[in-house]
Amino acid sequence: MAVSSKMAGVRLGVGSLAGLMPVIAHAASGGPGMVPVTQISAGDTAWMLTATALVLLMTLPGLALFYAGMVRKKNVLSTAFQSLAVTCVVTLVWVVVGYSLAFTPSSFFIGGFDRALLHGLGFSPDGTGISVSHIASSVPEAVFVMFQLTFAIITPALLTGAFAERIRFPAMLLFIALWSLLIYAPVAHWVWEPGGWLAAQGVLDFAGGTVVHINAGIAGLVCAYVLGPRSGYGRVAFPPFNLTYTLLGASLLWVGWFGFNAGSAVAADGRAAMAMLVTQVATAMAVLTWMALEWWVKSRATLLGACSGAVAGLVAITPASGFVDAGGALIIGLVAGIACYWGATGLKQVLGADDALDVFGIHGIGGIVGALLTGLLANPVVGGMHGNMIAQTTGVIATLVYSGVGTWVILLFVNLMSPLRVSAEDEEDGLDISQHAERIV
Amino acid sequence: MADTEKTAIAAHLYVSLRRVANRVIDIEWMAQNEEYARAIIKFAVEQGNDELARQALRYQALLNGEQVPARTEAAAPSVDTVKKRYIGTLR
Repeated sequence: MAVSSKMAGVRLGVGSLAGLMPVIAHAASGGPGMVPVTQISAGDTAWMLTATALVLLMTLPGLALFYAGMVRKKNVLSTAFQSLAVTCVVTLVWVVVGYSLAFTPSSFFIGGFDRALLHGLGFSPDGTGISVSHIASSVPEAVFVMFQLTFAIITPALLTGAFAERIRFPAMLLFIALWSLLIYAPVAHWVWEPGGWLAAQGVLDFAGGTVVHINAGIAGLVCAYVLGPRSGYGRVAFPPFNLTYTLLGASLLWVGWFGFNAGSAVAADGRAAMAMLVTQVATAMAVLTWMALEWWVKSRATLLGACSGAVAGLVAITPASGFVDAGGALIIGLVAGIACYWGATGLKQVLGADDALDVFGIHGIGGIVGALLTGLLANPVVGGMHGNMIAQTTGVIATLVYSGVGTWVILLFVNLMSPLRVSAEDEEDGLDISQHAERIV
Repeated sequence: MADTEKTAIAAHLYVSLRRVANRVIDIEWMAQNEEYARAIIKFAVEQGNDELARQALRYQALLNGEQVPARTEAAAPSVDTVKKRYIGTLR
């Protein structure tokens, strides 16, 4: 999520501002605060409201369908349900303290409690003042909170693909709450809050290649190791229930991703338009690359492969979307298609973890590819700055280490509180019936 | 009846030969000219492709007035084969 280009210049209105001056000064000087309503851009706000809905659409029902189609029949409902449950848990965590820790200035590593319970976020009844974030000064802070919430939701929701078909539902809820608070919020602060230590290093991450995808990818891999493989993994086939669901989910992800990437301009402007364009280009390129590889290796192009290529391209263009031109997008799509295909096939065998739906292979690898290529391909004409490979590499390594180790510690803690893994009998019966007393007939 | 059946099998041969051997044949002439048909059958069997050989032998049975072997499904992967690809991997 890029810092709004309007951040530096707060547009003062002509209304009665005397009573607002102290807080206006605060908003302009580096933290969220009140500004006159005339500073709000109707166009930016309308676009950000739309983008927010699009990003939520990615999780509900996009990711729910995408994942549900790839698991076995006995786990379809539980897998889709996890996305819904994650949405609710993260929403509460976010408004209580997550947003404040991620997006208020305090230290290099974590935000403060200024916005705990969204304290101070508001809109004056007389219409003279409205709170804005210092990161997005032309839209109401309520919109910014919601927009960022949808990112906070989809990141842990991605993890459910790694531990699919074997996690206990109560343990999952506890794990997601802690992960959102202790892993997602700090990493978002490092990269997206202007005072974060990675932001200060010059790390470029327009829409979440590092914060969302590398973060979720490595955490998913750790989850897969800690929970262990599904019963019968490597010996019996785990055929996907219905790849039509997966196509529908991937399609919703693709459309929703325009809100994800173009919305990260935090404005309805030319940069948002460029982000939308390169998102489409890179995704199409990655799909064709994946299809070509399958044709070459397996003599068939598959629907699941094409859907996977789409997600790979979307993931990889995410950090670059506000920084590269169409040529850069083609390169990113090509490399992402190759790298993620390898991540979900060859690398998966090497790692030996039962990452059920290839969260690391696609989101982790795609995120790393995108982050590094952003450093290489960033075009100053598009984003106003060059990339820095050292900074990008620092961001990748820091996120891999922090998220990997942190996830491992949280899983150990949760396992002490509430066992992570279902019993062998429950796994055999399927999570739909054993965890939720429901089933597809 | 025999010509219709010959044409149907020859059409399959046309597709398979084009795919396997990059060779184009004349379907109508096959039905009319036995010598040409037998040359095509010989060529098809020589390609070492099971599906192609099966089609050629069906055509040969028609020429010889024998009972045509029942048509079996083309070489699409079986359900079991498709399932096996999901052992230890999804993609």
